[in-house]
Amino acid sequence: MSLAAAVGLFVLWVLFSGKLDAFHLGIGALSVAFLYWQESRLPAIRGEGERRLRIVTTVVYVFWLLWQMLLAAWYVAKKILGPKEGLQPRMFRFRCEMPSQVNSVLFANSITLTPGTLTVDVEGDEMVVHALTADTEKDVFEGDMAQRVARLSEASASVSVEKLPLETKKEGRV
Amino acid sequence: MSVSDIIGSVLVFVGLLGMLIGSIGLVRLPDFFARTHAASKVDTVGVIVAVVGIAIISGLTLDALKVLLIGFFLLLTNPVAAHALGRAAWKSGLKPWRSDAQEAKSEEAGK
Repeated sequence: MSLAAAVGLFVLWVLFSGKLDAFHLGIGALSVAFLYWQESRLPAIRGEGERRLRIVTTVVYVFWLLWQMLLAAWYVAKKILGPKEGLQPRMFRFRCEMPSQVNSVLFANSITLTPGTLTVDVEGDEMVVHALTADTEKDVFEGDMAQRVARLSEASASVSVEKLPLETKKEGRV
Repeated sequence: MSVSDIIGSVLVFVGLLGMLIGSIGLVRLPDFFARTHAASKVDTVGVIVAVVGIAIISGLTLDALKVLLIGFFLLLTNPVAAHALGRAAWKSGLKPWRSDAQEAKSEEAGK
């Protein structure tokens, strides 16, 4: 954590507590110091291929994702209340090469946030996802979301979602 | 009642409805993975809608900002929790439930 981040945290604290006496400011300073110390003990996450996200695109993406979440929540709510025959849960594995690790994490989280799909495992470029129905599985393979996530860091990025056989050497099916 | 009160109340109601449906799903859905969907995601959307409703009721205040931040942090932490649950189940070899129709199909293919 840089010093700027620490100052930012302290400003947030003052903003939220709204009290400017020594006691509250003191607790705030202690909290920030504690976080600063804890953060310095964490291993660095900066791997190779890290890229900065494009801010405007990312903000647009967050709102797009919120909208997708609403649509998908409506869909899953209908499935929950509907007959059991409407469910065809399935597990599948795919490969999607993202420009950087940050994109991969965002993609996995976006899949999990959209109701109806749940990222179960991530290994490098490969992800294992559980989907409630055939439609929610299809949405992942359409690649629209993958494309948007890739473009968060590279305007010209183009990625494909490639289906793989579920079973591999070790996990699952013991 | 002002317009923002009404809009906010409707949003809170819709959010609560979403949480209720999520809870129903927790009981109704067939297996662990499907229940994780209901428990962690329909709920997340419900909470966020409710939180936006509360923010609209309180207007442009510090409280609204705090409440919206709660929603934002849910958005960050909830998929991580759901993923941790799902991953633990998957790594321990739990097979997802399949509908009768799916079972019949794969049996046919196996023959």
